[in-house]
Amino acid sequence: MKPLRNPVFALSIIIPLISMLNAANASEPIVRLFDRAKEYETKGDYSKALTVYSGIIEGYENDPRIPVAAMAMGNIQFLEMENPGQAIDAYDIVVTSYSDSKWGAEAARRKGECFRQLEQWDEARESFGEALKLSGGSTEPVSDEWINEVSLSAADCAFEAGDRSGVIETYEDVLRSDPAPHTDASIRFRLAESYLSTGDSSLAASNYAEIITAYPFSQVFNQAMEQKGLISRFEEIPWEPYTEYAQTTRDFATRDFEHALELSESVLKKTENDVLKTCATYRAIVAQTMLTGDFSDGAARLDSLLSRLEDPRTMPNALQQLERFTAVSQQERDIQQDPENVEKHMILGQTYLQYGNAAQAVTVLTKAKELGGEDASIDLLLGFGHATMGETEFADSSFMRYLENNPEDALALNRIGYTFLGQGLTERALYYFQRYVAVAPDDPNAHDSYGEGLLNAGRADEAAREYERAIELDETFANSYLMLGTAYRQLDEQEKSRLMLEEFLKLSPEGPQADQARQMLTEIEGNSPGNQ
Amino acid sequence: MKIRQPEKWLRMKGNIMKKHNLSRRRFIKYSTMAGVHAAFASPILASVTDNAELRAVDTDCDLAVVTGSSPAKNCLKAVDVLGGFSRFVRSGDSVVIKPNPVGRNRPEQAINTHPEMVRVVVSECIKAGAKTVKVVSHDDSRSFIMNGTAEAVEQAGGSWHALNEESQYRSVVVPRGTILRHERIAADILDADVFINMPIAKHHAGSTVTLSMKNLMGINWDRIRFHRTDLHQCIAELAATVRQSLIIMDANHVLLTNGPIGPGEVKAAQTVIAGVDPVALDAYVTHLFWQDPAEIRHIRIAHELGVGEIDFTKLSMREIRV
Repeated sequence: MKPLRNPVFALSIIIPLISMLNAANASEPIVRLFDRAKEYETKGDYSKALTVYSGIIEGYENDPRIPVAAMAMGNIQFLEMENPGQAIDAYDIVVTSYSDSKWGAEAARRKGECFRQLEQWDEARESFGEALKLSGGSTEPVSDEWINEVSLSAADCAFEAGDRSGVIETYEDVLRSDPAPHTDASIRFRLAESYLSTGDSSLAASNYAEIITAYPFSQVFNQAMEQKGLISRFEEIPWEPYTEYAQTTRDFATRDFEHALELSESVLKKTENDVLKTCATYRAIVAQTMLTGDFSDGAARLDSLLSRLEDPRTMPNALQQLERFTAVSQQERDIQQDPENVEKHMILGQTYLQYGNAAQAVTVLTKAKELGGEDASIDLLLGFGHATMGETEFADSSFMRYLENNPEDALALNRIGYTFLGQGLTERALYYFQRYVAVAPDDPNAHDSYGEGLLNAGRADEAAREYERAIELDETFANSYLMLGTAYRQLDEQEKSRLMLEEFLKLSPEGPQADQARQMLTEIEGNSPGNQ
Repeated sequence: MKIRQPEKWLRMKGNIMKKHNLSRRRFIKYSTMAGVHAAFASPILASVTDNAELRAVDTDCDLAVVTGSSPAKNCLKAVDVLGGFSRFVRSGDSVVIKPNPVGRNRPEQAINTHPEMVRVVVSECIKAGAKTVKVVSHDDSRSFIMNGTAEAVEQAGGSWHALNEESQYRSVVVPRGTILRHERIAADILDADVFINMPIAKHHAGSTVTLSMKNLMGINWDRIRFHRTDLHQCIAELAATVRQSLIIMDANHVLLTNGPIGPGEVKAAQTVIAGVDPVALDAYVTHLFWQDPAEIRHIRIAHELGVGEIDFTKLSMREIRV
């Protein structure tokens, strides 16, 4: 083909022609076009995928999926073709015309990232700020993590632009836009931290105080409570109910529902703050339900509480809890209607176990057996129920009954071992891990589990041999490298430990235990002869 | 194919500019960023609309629902209603099949895709001329062996392997992602001419149901991230990234509760559902055995992302008893 010499002229022909061809697609269902784009993407032909998305935007003006096509164009340009400038134009379509859609906030965020890559700090900061504002209006609330990442990005851009006060301004701008309650609390916390770092204690204190009194349901409430000393210098807060409420968080973590209920009721008597009253009521309902096991009542009370809230989304935990309580009470009703049904008893028993109601689990599972349930899984579930209640002997005999019928269930042996290990019953755990190894001698996980049991029992040399065997069986079994590193350290073989930890980090550089491995490496380096 | 008149295109262009508040300069920049790329990267403009190299298959029927006592016969009939395997598989194709091969369970427990179904699909793909037929999943090799999937595949002339090593995956961009940006997808799937998804219909404690879209969580490497962020959103975004040539859903036994690994209530539904639209298929099966599909977030989100049609009543469906 002879090349067209005048590029302007060439474009004047090409653009309308492509658009005409694209527009011809409008007679097709839009899903078909999205499918076609996906097929081009799977083949790695992103140019053609872009053309299809462009056709969707031009040809289906009123379809709610246009912002998806625009997002996809932006993402391809930004993440695949590394054209942030062109990606901005695509994201802009979403931000300007579909800002209230669920893609509005994320499009603004990615637009900000494009500007940041282009080192246009002011525009980037503006886009991140816009993303935070839009996040409050979305039908699906964004996570606290998202808010933190975006607000940090906005503040970073202000910092890069050399604008120290801009960091604080950024947060204040977002707060002025009346964001959703969780966003407000998270941003306010960052603002308070920024004021603290610039030495403006009074403003820091007032923002911490605002979090405590207005947002006790937020995840930053307990962190703000840690600044009680600072706040007390500038603000007057009747601390007692707030302190008691903060304690209930710890009670829930340790499953001390009795204490949580007592404190929640005490908070209700002592506070005049309606928001705190709602939060305390919620915790009282949950604690009482966990104590009484009456999930139908719990669900009804939670439902009633949520129906009185202006915006139930301010308490997402309560919504999730309501779903769980409703599911359990439904299963309980199923049993009432069909009291002889073994399978339904098993299902409810398993659900109780999932929610930590071991006593109720044991009751219904025992009933399942009384009803003639022959499924060996009942014994396995019963074992976990008894183990959770600390009834080791009952647990052991239930597990043994299960294993009589399923002697080679490696998964069960591993779970039982870890259940006992978690309770500090190392010898019991070792028995089951040993059986796991006997059943699955070629499974690296079996040796890894047994190694963990031995390490807990203080038998580091034997543990090291198990981990070595696991790695022999699968040289990519990352956990065994980390644990072998730990075992070698206990055996005072620092160099071997270092090599294993480095190997672990090669295999799992971003895994949840990577920091632990790095910390151990730092300690080994610090103790090496050269550094002493 | 209808070609839109230039005047009409011009009118539309004006509307788009107004709607998106774009200047003319920016609109041209925007429309050319896709167009120029395509125009200069490909030998001829027509390739923009010429889909000959694509594998999308038009069928008279969108959803085939077949009920009968034999899982294998149900499976064969369902694909037959869609036009037969030869409509999806061409001579010399490389075919990759993704069942749900979890654990060492019997088919009646409704935990993994019925091995008999996998057997006939491998066999039919070979008959249709496939050069290779691989059965893969990010699961334990022992599961393939213990639940009978491995034996079924080998007997039918295919091969199988577990996707347990990171080197078996390739990172690709997730264009319709808001949480996912890049995802490591099995190279086997990306390189295949035909990708057949063979899920089993189950309840799932995390995602409420595990059907065709949730089954894709066996073709990517990092599944933990899905659980740590927003499982439903990630499932939908993955489904918007990987194209499935054909979906054959095992609903011969359906795990109604306590999924994905049971034990739970099992319904012997004796049904196989086949189609190419994952959203319609999952919506239909959810409606059939559980609840309103719009209440399942990943199905709703996938519809919003253009993956498929949630209102399955808009599609043409054939229900057959064999």
